[in-house]
Amino acid sequence: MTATVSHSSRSFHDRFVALFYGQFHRLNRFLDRLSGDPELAADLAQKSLVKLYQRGSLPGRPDAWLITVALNLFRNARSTVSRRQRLVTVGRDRARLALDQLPERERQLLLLMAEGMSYHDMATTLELNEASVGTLLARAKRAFREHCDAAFDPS
Amino acid sequence: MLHSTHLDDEQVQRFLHQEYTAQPGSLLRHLEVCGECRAGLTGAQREEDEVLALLAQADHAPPNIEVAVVVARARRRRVIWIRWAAGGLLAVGLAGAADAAAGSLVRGWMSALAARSTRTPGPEVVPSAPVAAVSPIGGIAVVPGASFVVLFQDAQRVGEARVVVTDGTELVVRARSGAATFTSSSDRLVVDNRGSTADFDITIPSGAIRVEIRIGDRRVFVKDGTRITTVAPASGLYRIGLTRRIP
Repeated sequence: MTATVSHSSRSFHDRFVALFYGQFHRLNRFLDRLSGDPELAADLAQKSLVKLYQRGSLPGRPDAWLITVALNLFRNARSTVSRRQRLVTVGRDRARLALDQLPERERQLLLLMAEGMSYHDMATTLELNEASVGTLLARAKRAFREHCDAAFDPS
Repeated sequence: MLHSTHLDDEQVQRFLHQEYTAQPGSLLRHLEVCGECRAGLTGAQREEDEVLALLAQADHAPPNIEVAVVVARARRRRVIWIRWAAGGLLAVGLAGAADAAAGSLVRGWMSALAARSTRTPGPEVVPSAPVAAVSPIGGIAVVPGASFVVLFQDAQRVGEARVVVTDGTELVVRARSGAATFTSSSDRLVVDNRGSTADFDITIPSGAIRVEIRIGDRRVFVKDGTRITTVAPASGLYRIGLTRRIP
């Protein structure tokens, strides 16, 4: 019994290490774009992976699981983040400014799409009707580009 | 069956992302004959390419985090949790033993604790308005705002503050010897230490964005993001003298 547990836990560790190298930068990039705060992004990406390690086993869809956990952690930190965003976005590039101007749901949807998430997973993660994900995405992309153009226009 | 109307946003996006499952044959046949929809699809693809390129502009350089650091953090938290649980069990055991003694003060404390625990639990409260401790107490825990100041009202004749940064979520100030009066709000914690000779332990959450510690109008410690500036030697445990002279 002990040998089985030991073997199982070692193989989990190995699988976690492989997953870390495949997912950390993707998770960090998603959180970085979402928050505009690289330190917070790195911290939340680590915390998400810490939670996965403490879980002791890999979920069926580790990438979707990690994104969901990261989003929940971000929501918990949101009040602090929103206060900071007002400070850090001054003078940042137009993509950052445009992202900050999107409604939260559109921003999250756009960023999940950029990470290649399926419509089903996006709908589940953001509690949306799956049948309207494409329409919402088209709207989010259009709004993002308009905000980018507005940020680029010196007038 | 041929699509009789042009593709809408939902259909275009699903086609782009290979999420289109309903009658793909009819969609393809429509695209073969409808130049307007083909142009719309090409435009949507171009727009997506531009959006992805613009998003990449917002990226910061990725951090250099090793998997060993994450694993160690996960294991450390587990150990901390076990220590807290063990400490709690020990405290309950000691309280039970003390309660058995006739006339014990512990009985009164336990009664008060039991009365508090029977209240209906409410949501976690983050102090947003000033809250003053009614009498000198041993410590206080608050969730710090984006920019938070811990203010010791006066320099002391003797005493020091020991500061550590941890993975927790609360900023804790505890008088290790003696007591003090604390007043807190969302951006400030005032320690009324006038005439005190107490030593203090201060725990700052690593997630706190900016925390300053001041003695009167003298700034002795600043945590700004991950950067720490202090009068004390950097060692993980920062020992800051509360006396008038900088040590």
